[in-house]
Amino acid sequence: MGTLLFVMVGLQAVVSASAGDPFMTSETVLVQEVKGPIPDRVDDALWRSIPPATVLAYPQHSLHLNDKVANAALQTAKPRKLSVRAAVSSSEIGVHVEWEDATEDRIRPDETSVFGDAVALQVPQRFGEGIRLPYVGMGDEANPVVLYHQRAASTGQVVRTAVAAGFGSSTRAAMDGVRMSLGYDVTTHRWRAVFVRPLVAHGGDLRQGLIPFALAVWDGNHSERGGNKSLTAWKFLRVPNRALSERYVNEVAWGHRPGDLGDVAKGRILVESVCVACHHVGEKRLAAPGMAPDLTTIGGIASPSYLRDSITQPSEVVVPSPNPNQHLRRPQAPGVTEVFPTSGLSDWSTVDAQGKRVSRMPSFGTMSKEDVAAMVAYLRTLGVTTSTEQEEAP
Amino acid sequence: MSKRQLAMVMDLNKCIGCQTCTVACKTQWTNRNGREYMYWNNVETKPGAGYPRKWEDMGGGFDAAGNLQEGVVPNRSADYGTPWDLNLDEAALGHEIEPQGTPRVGPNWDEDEGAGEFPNSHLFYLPRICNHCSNPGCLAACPRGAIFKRDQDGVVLVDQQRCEGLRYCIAGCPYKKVYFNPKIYKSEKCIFCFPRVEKGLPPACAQQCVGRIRFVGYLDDKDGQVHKLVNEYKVALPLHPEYGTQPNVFYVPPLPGPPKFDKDGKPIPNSERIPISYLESLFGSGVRPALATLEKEMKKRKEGKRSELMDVLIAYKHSEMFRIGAPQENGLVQIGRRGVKAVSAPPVR
Amino acid sequence: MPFSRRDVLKNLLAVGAAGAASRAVAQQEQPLPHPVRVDDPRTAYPDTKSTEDLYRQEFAGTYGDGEAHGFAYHCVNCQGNCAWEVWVQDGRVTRENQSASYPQIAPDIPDANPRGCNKGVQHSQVMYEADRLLYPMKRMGERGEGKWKRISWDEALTEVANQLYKTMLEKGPEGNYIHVGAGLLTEARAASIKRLGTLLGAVRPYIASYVGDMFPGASVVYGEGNIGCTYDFLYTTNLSIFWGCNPNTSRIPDAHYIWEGKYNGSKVVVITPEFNSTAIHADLWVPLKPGYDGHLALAILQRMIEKKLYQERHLKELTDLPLLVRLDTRELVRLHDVDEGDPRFDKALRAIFAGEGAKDHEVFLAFNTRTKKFTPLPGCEGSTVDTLRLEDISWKVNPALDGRWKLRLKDGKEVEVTTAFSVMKEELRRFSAEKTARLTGVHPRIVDELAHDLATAKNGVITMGFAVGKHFNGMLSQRAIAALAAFTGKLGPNGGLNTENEWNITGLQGLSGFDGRYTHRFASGFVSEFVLGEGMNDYEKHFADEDVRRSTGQGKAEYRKQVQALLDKSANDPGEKQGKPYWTTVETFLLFADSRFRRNKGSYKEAFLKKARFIAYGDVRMSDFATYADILLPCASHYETWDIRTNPGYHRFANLAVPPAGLKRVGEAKSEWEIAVLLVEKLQEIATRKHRETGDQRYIRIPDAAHTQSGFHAMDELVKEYTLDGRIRSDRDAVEYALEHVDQFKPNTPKTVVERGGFLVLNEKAGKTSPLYKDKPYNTFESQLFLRHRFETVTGRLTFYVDHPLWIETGAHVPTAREPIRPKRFPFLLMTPHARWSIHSMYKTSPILQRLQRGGRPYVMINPDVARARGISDGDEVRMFNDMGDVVLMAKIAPGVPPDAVVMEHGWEPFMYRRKKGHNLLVGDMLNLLEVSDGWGHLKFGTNWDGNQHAYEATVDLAKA
Repeated sequence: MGTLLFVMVGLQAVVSASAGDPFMTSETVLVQEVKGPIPDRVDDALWRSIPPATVLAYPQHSLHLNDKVANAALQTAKPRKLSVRAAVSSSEIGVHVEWEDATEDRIRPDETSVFGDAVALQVPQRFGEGIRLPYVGMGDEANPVVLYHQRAASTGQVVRTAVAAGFGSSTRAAMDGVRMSLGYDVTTHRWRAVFVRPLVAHGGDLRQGLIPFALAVWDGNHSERGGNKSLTAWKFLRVPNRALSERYVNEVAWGHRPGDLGDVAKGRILVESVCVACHHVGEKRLAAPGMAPDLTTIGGIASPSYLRDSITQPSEVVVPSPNPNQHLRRPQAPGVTEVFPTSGLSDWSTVDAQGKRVSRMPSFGTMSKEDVAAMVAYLRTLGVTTSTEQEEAP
Repeated sequence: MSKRQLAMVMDLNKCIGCQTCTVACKTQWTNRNGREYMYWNNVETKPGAGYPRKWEDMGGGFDAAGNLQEGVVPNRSADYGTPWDLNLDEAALGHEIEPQGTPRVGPNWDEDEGAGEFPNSHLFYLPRICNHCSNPGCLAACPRGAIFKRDQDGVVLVDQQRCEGLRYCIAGCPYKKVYFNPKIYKSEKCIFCFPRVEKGLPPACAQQCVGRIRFVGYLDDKDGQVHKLVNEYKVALPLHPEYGTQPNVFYVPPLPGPPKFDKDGKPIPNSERIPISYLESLFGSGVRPALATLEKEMKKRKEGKRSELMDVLIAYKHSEMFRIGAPQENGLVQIGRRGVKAVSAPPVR
Repeated sequence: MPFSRRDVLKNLLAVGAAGAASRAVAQQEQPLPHPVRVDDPRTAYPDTKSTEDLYRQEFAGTYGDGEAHGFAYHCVNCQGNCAWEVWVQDGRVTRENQSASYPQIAPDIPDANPRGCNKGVQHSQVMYEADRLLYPMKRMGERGEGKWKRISWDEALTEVANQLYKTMLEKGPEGNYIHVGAGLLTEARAASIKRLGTLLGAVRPYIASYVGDMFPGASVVYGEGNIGCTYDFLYTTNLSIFWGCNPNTSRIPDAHYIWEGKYNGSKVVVITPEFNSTAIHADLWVPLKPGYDGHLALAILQRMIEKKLYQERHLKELTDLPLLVRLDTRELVRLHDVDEGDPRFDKALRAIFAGEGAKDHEVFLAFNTRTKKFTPLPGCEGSTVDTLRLEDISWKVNPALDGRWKLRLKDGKEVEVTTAFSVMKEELRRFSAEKTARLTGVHPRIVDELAHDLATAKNGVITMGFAVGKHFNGMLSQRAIAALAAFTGKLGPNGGLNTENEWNITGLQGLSGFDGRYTHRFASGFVSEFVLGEGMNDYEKHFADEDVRRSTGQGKAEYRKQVQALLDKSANDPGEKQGKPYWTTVETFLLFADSRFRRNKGSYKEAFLKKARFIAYGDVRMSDFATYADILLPCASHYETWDIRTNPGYHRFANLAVPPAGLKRVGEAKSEWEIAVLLVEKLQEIATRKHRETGDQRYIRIPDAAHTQSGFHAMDELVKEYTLDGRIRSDRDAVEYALEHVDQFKPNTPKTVVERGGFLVLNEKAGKTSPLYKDKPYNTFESQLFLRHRFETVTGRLTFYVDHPLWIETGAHVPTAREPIRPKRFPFLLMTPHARWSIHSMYKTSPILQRLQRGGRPYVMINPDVARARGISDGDEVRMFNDMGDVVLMAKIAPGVPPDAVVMEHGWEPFMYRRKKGHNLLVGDMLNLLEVSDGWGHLKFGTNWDGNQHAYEATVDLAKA
């Protein structure tokens, strides 16, 4: 598509988008345009001048890990309010994240059971019209993500840039032009972090009007690390005066606009009669542990379109399995050099004859649109406490 | 997937608790780079809290249904003990020599304590390395799948490139034999001295074991002592088999020890100074048969009859306690000052 | 740290201060990698090599190329003597491991590999510790204050030489005290300082005696204290008794033979008050009350006699039990006493056994039941026939073991005589199992079992530990145990007593001596240290009259008077060589590897520092004693010097120390040989200059009638004499000399030894009283058993009877036992056995080893009930005290400790305690009159007949600090 035309469409989109679209108000963060370089100091005046958007990060339940202490903490974990600000220049884009954490936890070069507070910014490697959002938990094989990660350390912070395509797959990758910083304010007990990257870099082009992103934060005091974390759903940076494709907006906005979703009560009945056979849902834990992602807080971290697709065409949005060796068949023990047979319990997908990864979740494509919309409507409520809204700048 | 499994047998009836193995391992691997607090090989007095302190209560391993159990990551100062230094540099200044800080926990803190009442108390020594399990809890726990078993010998290694220091492996290992290196932010563990093995040298802890209690070899080497003790005579047993990880380090359990005394000081025959039930809590149901076999064979030997089992356990030639294969082929090797000489190759099955 | 892990640290380095900007690595944009995901690491793994290579590189760093290494052993007083390989990278030792290449002597005997222990294996770590002495230093402040000035070697040696020379001129040679302590015990290396001392006529005390590691009680019976077997012999026994020792802790390299021996059918018995690391594996553990070893030994002996569990032939032929004893005086009948005109006297045999040149006063008699006559015996010190054989072509003697006869003496007086055996049996009745059980705490059932086992075992060994001799009456206990072993007739292949075998190493005179031109001024160890430390003061303070009466039968003052009377006889080298020599004249000290304030008791330190006008001290590290020196000399460590070591004979190998190629010595350290050579050069220079200046002969002729041939020390000949005309100027020269001259080392050169793995195998000549067979474990006294050679005793026989007047007077003429002297006022005996974690004080300060103990603090093991009663819990700081003082320790609660004692591994140096008050402050001692007694038969001062300082005579109480 020609650049010129693209820009035209974009401009129209910006106009129409401004007209109180609930998606735009609840799911996007308005990016401030700045001249010159984007500051990477957490306390720079610029950041204070930008009105923050509140985004909620929900404790991650989908994957069950084996740290007794972390799991105990997870039971009482509450969603975290993240104040997000963003700025864009001609060449760079920056995100400023701020959240409250009663304890300042930094990793130390001499302790074995101390975990550091940390934060990560996640961006899809590819996005746009016709490109499905990656699985929000570090992407999936079809849709890998880029990660910008900082962990508080006794001396400053430890930074890491990586690519990932699902649980356990984050892989360090050197990335150009990234600037990150992290700081704790002992008076307000708030962490503040800044991520700055070039618009065109790391295999992606962010010169767009709507940029998907997700954030994760870790509370070291609760032994959070890796999959033990709080995670936001996919949100979007809205960049003024940049191309904005109506079609793309409609794709990602599904479920956020009136009429998209169905009756929550009906959805609940369906979910609790169908899904709980394999999934844990809050108190409903009939299925064997680890059989399928735990849906307890799925409403907070999964976007409606993803929930819809995972019901109607699960094999299009395969979630990689956790380590299968967590579940081993008993009682027979094989020879010492044989691989101990796993029960397959935690295999969330299998590979078909064509070598294509197929979800072990049966497709419910035959369900009526209404039923699906109803189920999504109910799932959206799981783990969700409040909804996000714009705040006034201090 | 490992084609063969290298294993170790430790004869607790020969262990004198000298810890030469511990220090040999330390100078070989753990006296540097954030490993100072680690003991890939430690020797603990049983009954006792061990190292890390009360490791048996820290979870990990698998339940009967085969599901990985929750576990905890030990704390360095409270559970391992901080590797204290002495102010030796101040000796010349006429100062008292004293430890830095006031250590309360250490890797051998309850040495020679044991349990029971004088004169009927009991104790024995239990050397521990990574069990290089066939079904490792650490490997199952790693959400990144960054722990693997070597094809050629089943040695369990933590991938030092892919490890992100998440420490789920430490929670998952019921023996607490994976350690977090806070300096490089990665987990590390006993590597069965594979770089030595590749050069035809046994693991440092085994070759330098002065009590000559350690046999090293492949479990499928039918002519090897390891196979004989584990599979034929069944006198070598895994530690805590109930943890479900299929350990590949095996122990000849200690004989119950000298007779206890009644109140007049008269010895009580067969008085189980070390309670068999306690041994079973460590080594499982195989303890009684194993001890019975040992006692039967020892009796034969006392009567001047031949006993292959005694010959194996006595181990006439130190170098022949190790059947680890020459650098290239898996051959029976003589460890001389100058390394290795392949003698004959045990069958590969 | 030698190994960089930068590749791993990449991307991990913490950046900046909190909040500061940071830049992720990599300079230019490269295409993003594909994320790596491992589905099941056990079925397939993408990249194992990168991790494997990391560890391979690291190992290579410690192993070098596998060639750049040397050999060593740790020349310390553990007597272990194990061959090690030492690996070097960039001039620095990275690591050591046992050479583990000793040959197997026979297919059915386990080999000796891999000799070594937890301490040797970490020497490479401590040799670079912060307490290593780097340069010569001179004290600036008060002694022990810690004020030093670095000086040059030349300044240091000049000062030391001046002090030694000054003393020689003013006080004579006996004013100097030149000694290498227990930290350095070898043929080659320690010889350097001994040689120096002998050349200068300086005083040198006997180590084994002052550390209390002698076996005088064994000397009484066997004629020598260091007897027994190589440890592989214990593999061949049917019965192994470990009496007062803990080989699993203190004989680490050898202990495997015990447990392999158990698998081979041997019964293992441990007799100790505490349930120790050896007892845990034993077939029988005997919890004996501390200090009552003699009582138990005699109870067993009494049982054997009572049950006739002995072979008469053995007693008649190889023991002194048939010898005639006068009932009136309890003296042995000696040939020069008897009236040879008496018809009951066998003139014919006298002619044979005590012919021309016989020394009649050392020929003893028995009653021959064949001829019904009194007959002199062959094989006595004074006999002219050397064999103990009682039947030969020209004679047949069958001595009576029991009986009473009348015998006429030279003066015509008729006296009643009986046999030593009868007298001993009489004494032993007091020590029946039933009568002693109350004291020993050992049930008669156990005594029966041990008597039976000892009598019936085809091959039985009693290994006696040092702890037995550490009690005040320990010599008597040692003698009782030795007597028990001797009584069973176990010798050579049948076992017997095992103390500490010593090889016969000849040909080293060149290194240590001067062909008689100069002889060493050899002092009794325990006496000279006791006198130097004013031990009598502690005796007065620590022991009550009742304590002394209980253990000696005499009052406190009376006992002291008797001991003092003996000491006065032998002070300062009186003409006639009677008693225990010592010199009160010493004032100038040149010491090496000798942590004497750690070792010595009570108020020794204060007394010593008062008497020591000058202290020069050589060591590898700033030890507790080093902090009190006036001049400090930094010595080369085990890996930095050549050396060779053989004794004692726990095994048949001599180990060689060869510094690795390219090793850099730490600081300015020098070997003892180098130091000694520089010192004699300096002394000669000073003396000859003085002579040149004054022309006065006395400056180069230091008179010394007693210890020089010429009557003086020729100060202008020192270098020529010391270096054998320049032949020996370094540690390496000394080693090469030894390899060339020691018969038992032949045939060997440094090259052959290195190629073999840093050791050589002693040839058959190394055995003293048995041949050292190539293919058999060694045990002493085969020549006596098979060839009926005489023992080195005055009767030529295993000696049960001692008719030294003092011994008769105190009832010790036959084996007996006495109670410990430890004060009853305090409830717990302080037992300080040899340590697992140090060799005495050596390695006690090693951080690596301390981390495997108790927080770097001295600790004491306490019985749980005792702790409970005093409100002490594990890890508490406790005050251990008696009326000598108090020390602070960490409490360790252990049920293996008896309720009437506390146990702490010894070796802690005073400066490791709070206020530098070490546990030996609480220990008072007294010389045992019988150990001081001298001049009877084979009980004459020397390495076989000196005495012990006693470490186990302090009782203490405990309180929470």
